[in-house]
Amino acid sequence: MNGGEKIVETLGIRKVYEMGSHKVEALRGLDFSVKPGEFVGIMGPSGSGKSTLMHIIGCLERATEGTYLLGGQDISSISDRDLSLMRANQIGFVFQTFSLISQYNVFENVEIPFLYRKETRNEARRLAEKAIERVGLSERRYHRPSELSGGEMQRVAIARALAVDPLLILADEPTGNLDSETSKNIISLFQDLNEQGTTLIVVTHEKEVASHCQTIYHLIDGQIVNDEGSA
Amino acid sequence: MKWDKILRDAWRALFRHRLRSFLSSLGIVFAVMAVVGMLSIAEGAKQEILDQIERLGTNSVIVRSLQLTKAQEADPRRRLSQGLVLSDANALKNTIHTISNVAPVKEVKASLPISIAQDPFEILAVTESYQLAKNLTVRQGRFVSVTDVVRKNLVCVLGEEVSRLLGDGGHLGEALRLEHRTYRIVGILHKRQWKYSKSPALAVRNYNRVIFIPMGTEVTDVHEQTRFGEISEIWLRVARNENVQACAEAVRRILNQKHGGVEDFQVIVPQELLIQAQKTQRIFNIILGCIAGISLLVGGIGIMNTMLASVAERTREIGIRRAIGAAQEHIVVQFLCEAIVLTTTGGCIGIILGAGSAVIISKVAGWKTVLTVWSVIVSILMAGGVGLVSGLYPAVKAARLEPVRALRHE
Repeated sequence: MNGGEKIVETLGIRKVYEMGSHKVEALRGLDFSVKPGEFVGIMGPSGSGKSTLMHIIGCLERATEGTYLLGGQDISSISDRDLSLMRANQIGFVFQTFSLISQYNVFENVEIPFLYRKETRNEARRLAEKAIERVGLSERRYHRPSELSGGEMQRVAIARALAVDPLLILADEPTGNLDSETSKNIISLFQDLNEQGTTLIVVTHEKEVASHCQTIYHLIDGQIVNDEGSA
Repeated sequence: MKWDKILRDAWRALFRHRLRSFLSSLGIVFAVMAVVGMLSIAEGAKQEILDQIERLGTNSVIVRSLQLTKAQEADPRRRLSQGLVLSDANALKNTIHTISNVAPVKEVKASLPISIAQDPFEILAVTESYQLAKNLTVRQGRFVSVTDVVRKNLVCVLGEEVSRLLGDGGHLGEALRLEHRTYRIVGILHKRQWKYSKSPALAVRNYNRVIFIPMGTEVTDVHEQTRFGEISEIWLRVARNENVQACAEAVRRILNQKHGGVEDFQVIVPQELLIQAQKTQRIFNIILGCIAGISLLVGGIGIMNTMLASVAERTREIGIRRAIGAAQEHIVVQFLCEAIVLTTTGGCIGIILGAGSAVIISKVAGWKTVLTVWSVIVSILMAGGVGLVSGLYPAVKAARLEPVRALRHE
């Protein structure tokens, strides 16, 4: 890894959305970085640019200006196809609404990313099984999402993110749809993963979740106002 | 790409909305059914016609005597022509050097023995060359010979069925009484395949039901039926296929001259009929192609509509797939596969129904139908092609969705 220090590094990134003649500046020259094995929280009120930052880090969107280095590689101006490759190989997503495909069972949902990667069928199966085991859902691998609780669905989403052994996992309000007990379990799972070396970035507005992060960035109006912890 | 998984997913997505998938593929089902059914009928008709033309012989030219209408009979020019006569056959043989065989035929009307009088048998007065002209093969004895014709021997050759129906009287050496004369049976033909033809021009005789006698032996008995020397047909065999057209033209010219322009004969050229049949077939194929094209277009619009609905309701799924690494081409392939699986399945059902309807038509209407491998392949390819074309726009539309917007879609 270039520099050996930072997995994610943004340098003066701006994101402007054009809505007709109206322009909305979601991020205003943001500098942000994450080190390998770090557990980072991003907090802020609605409209502060948390999700936009998350989407840019997750290669779902491009910044209007500035530089974004992922694993030391500048991806500010790479093609849509290469962005897809980055998502397939380097990033795992966990969403607030779980984002599982309802007609697939647990195993099939976890196996989806391998459809877009180069692993053989047997290798994909092995990795998917391993990820399901890590989140403790081996017994339920042939259940459909509709037969699972909210916490279990989020575990499936985490297993799907983990299965491809990504550079980092991005979680957008991962406990937003869960009760407090289930939320604790999910946070605990994140902590376990982090202890095993997984780099995590979590967007949240829950202090309980943020309290487990090593570094917390506060975003207001597209700018980081302060950061706490080890950053 | 992991094609097995992509195809399985496509199948599952379609099966999940099976009623919608079924209804939207009905257009393709009926289009392919119509194409396969019509191709089977067309192929059957084509084979039947070609078969009959082939049996007439593509290197043959046939001259048939025509009955004149009352108006033509009243025409003074009528007196210039004796009708189709034996000397016409000789004139053609002597004038046109590309002709290898000339076989004059006279249909004879004579009373038959009582045992076969009820059946529609034909008596033909022929020369020895008729055997070669029609490729007749003798099972027992021999065919009418040159000597029989020259000496006017009272001998006859029987078709297989005639011999069979005559029983003991139908064997070699037995006597057969036709009108007031007794003919000796000198030959019996092999059984020959025969099919009824609706077209008089293509009608082929059923040689199993024919009694052959030497040309000239019939004159004494039945000369009052026709004018002296008048014959029914002349079969001409041309040595080389490429000379058939020129030979037919020469025949028309010579006979017109000999008959003083009286149209009391008809020249049939199987090769011309073959070309005509092929032209008709081409026109039929074009019409069929247009019908199939319109049906498939309508079917394709239905498929496109369904795929657009599918893309709209699965926008979030597209967002999820994009977020976890699917490139635009993966999404295009996924939706294209669904469209192709949908139309190809519809095509397969259409082929089964089309083949079934061809069988029913052949049983009910008595038409010959033939289901060819190429019509099945063409139908499948057509159905798949419609899936490809009609699925392309929805698939590209799906792939171009912005991942973030697609993810936010409820």
